[in-house]
Amino acid sequence: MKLKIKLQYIATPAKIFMAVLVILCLLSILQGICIEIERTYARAKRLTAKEKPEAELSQEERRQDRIRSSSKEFLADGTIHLISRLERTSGQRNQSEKVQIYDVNDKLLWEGPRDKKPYEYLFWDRQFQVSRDAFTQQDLKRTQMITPGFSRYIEIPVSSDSKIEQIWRYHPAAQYFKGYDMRGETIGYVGSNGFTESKSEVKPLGEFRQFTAWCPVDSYNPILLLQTQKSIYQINFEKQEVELIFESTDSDIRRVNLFAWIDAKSDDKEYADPNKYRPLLHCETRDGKHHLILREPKQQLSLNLRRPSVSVVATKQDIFVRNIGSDMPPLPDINSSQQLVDKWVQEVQKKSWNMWTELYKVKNNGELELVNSYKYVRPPLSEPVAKARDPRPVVQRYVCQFSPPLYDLIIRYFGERFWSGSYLYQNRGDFFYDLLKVILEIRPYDGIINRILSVIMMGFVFWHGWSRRTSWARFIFWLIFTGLFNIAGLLTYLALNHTAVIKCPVCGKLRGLTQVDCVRCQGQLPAPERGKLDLIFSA
Amino acid sequence: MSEIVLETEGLTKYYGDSLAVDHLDLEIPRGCICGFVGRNGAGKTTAIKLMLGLLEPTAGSSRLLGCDSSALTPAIRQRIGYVTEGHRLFRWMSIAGLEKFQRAFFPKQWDDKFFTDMIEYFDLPKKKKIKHLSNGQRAQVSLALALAPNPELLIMDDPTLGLDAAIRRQFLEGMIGLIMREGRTVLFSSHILGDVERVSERIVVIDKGILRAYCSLEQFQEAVKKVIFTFADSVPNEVNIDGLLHCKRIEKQLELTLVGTDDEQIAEWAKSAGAENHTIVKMSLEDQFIEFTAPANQKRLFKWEER
Amino acid sequence: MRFSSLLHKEFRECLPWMLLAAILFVAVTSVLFQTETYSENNSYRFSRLSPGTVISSYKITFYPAMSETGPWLFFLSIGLGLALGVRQFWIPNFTGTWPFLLHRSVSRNTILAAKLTAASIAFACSIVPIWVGIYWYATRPEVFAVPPTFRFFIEGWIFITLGLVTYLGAGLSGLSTAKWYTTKIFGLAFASLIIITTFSQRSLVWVLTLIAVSAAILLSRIFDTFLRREF
Repeated sequence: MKLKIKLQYIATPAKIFMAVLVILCLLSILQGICIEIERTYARAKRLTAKEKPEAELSQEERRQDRIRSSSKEFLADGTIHLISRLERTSGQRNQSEKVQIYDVNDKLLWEGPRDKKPYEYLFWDRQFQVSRDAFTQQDLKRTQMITPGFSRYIEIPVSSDSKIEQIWRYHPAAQYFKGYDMRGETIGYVGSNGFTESKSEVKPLGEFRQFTAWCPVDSYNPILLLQTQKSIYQINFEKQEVELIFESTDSDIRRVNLFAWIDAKSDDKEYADPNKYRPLLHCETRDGKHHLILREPKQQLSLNLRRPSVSVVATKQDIFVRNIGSDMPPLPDINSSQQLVDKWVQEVQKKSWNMWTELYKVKNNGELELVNSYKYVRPPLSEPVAKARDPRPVVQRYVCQFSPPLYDLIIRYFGERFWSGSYLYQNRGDFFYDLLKVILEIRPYDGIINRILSVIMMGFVFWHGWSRRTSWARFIFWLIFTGLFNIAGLLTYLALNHTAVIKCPVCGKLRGLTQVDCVRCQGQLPAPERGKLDLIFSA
Repeated sequence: MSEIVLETEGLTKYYGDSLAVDHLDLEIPRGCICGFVGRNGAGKTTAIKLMLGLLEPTAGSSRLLGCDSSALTPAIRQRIGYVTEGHRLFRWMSIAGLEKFQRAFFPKQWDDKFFTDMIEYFDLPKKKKIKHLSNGQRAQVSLALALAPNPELLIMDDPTLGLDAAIRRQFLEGMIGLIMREGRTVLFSSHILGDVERVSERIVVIDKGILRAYCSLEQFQEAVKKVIFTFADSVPNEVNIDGLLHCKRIEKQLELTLVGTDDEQIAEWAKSAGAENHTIVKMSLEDQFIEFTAPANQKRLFKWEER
Repeated sequence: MRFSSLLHKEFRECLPWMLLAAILFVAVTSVLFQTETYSENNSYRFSRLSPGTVISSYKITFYPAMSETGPWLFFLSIGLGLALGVRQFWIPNFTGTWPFLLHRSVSRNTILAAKLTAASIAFACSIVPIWVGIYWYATRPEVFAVPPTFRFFIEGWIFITLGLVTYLGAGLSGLSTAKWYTTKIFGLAFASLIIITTFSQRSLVWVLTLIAVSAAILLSRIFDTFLRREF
């Protein structure tokens, strides 16, 4: 009996929690189905819709548009050309697409297929992550996900002739590689201090960020370029060599760009003459510094640029830096509210801004020397897009009016900081990230319909629960609960409070049966009238 | 003064918004054999389950052997035998397995010899599984399981349901064996009034959840009478006799069902009403029960009866 | 003696399902061990890497050896949990044996504890030792070139505990007196939610915590429902 009473304090909240969770999930699924149907329909409509004829532009507007959309390329001597695509196709550049090349004075220099252009422009480094086969932190997390087939591992084989002789497995928690021979016995470890034989000697490589692997031209065995939080390593498993390419003592590595670094067939090598360029690893740390690690010959430079989005390339003669900038106000801090970001977008859209592309040469002392620059004006949008309070499609907006107002409270409290802040750096667990994404997708956005629905449902709960109430605390709890959870709250209430009511024989009003006495008149259930002909005689 | 082993006070049970048991007040003394009767859906099984703590009452209370039914302790349950409605037992178990299972709960009380004797008496092989037994055989096993621990109070919910006459006779004889042990109290519900008549001392009649009769069997049988009055001319329009339950006019005869009316009162009324003669019809308990619980305006089951 | 009698009865009812799960699991893993490549044949997993090419990550991300046992372990655990939950808590509703069982001279707590203990023993005696055996064998030298890690073992345990969560969910649904189209299936639905949530996680600690909390929730609900339920 005592257990029954004690359990009530755990079991009742558990019951409510379970019920509301299941109902919220069912509601989310239904909402998701409606939203997907709408999206599919909208996609189909877009595909079958006739293209709107483009508005007639003046000559100046056409010029400005051409300049804005063209890519600004540099020759080795610093000359700037503007390359426009004749056919506006979306997606990546097609080498055979037709282009026009203009100089800075709007003079057409050449027109024809891109791969036939007579000029040799400088190539620029590309972000490590963008390269096709980079294995990122997100990929690692995905492999570590628990599935019925178990989580996966990165395993690097080392073979001789046609037989595999060693396998090196990456242990994410321990942050090192462990090697096995083909009999399953451990042969060693690879950490930041190189190859070691014992576990006690190995030092962790650091928190994993990304890697790419390739087979050199003369080998079947992989080399790894591994980036951690503060370091970049190049690991040759066959030769059992670990080369520390770069290590940041203070701040984390923010971005790594490569050019011609990987000794394998890649986009860089296909289009860049290896006799003219030096392999380059360009590393930007969070304190704004740019570190260049070059080969042929080996060289290491640090540039104090304090500018994001610079590209670097190193020819045999010089090192060039390209900077693309504007006088637009900087984007609000990553941790700031969505409202500030929206305000920034509005401001940027309605004004014209000066834009420029600059080419610098890096001197031996690390200073930059401006070689050339090109300035132009980015016109304002003809019709600035006003960001709607709720920018989602119509069906989604209406369907989400049935979502709990609690979602808006969660986003208001957590969303701005969680979502735009640390989650972008993927420091949190995936579950909360995914949950917040779902909540963002189906939140009611403080809609008036949502509020009205909540009030109506609270009214229903009031009417339904008035005759059934066992205590004021429970009654008020359910009212607030329904107000916070909307239809999910109402359904939970109905699921857990389906007690029957009868007409009180004393006051004639509806009363519940969970209490002996009527909640209104405190009248008890009356005993039936004894029939005159009943035969009731005690023993 | 005999001890009360089973008492209910204002016991009420609602299923949803429909009333199953309405303020049932009972006191069953020790050593009493009590038949619990009522029509289908009267609330007998509900009342029994309330008494055994299998259901929670909406209002009122029930006590068995001095213990609140909703908190029956294991020690109290050990003193109560219960034969469930339909004799539902674990189908995959054999009779021997069930014996072993049941015995574990009555380490000191279990009468091995009694159980074996009963099983042999019913001619049941111990190795046979419950699922291979007929309804009657299952009833026998149920009774043996309930009686072998020598319970002080035996509650049986329609124990002879679905049994043929011969098996019912055997069952009742087994029950009589228990009754003969001093101080045992039996409460059993049944649709077969003949069985109730055979073994019960007291009778409980429940109708639409309301207690209608709780008295000795003799009191009930003496109280409920059917009298046929024959009239020479016309039958009187008004019948005002004490204890009138039902009244049926058949040409020049008046058939009255009376409760608690003695013979003198009947004769007096017959004279005052101008009846030529009157006959008290001899009724079985079943007839008395049907008359006692029949509604005032009973509809006919079949339309041809109305011609 | 009373508890052991109840336990014996409950365990006997679980026995056929437990044996079925164990036999299936042993049969499947035997076949997998026969067909799974041994140390000198592990190379089949690595397609020939070509000199001078960048390696696609899919070529070097692998499931551990014996990963095919995973789906079998998962589905058999879930199936066993479902079967035991139905057997113990749904079937008596149809056979009408609740009143007989509940009129034993023991408290309802004891009856429920016997059921839960029997189910735990069923898991412990069927799937668990086979899984432990698989891991022990797989980590023996010269069986696989790269033996499974301890995480592999823990993930297997997670699948087994998900089976227990399913059992509790099925039990709670069985005890519910609501209609099937209302809240009766909430127990099973909750267990399903936990299983789905587990499969988007990577932290073992977080997953085990999630399972422990959900099992505690289900257990408290089962006890509360069983103590209060009308039969």
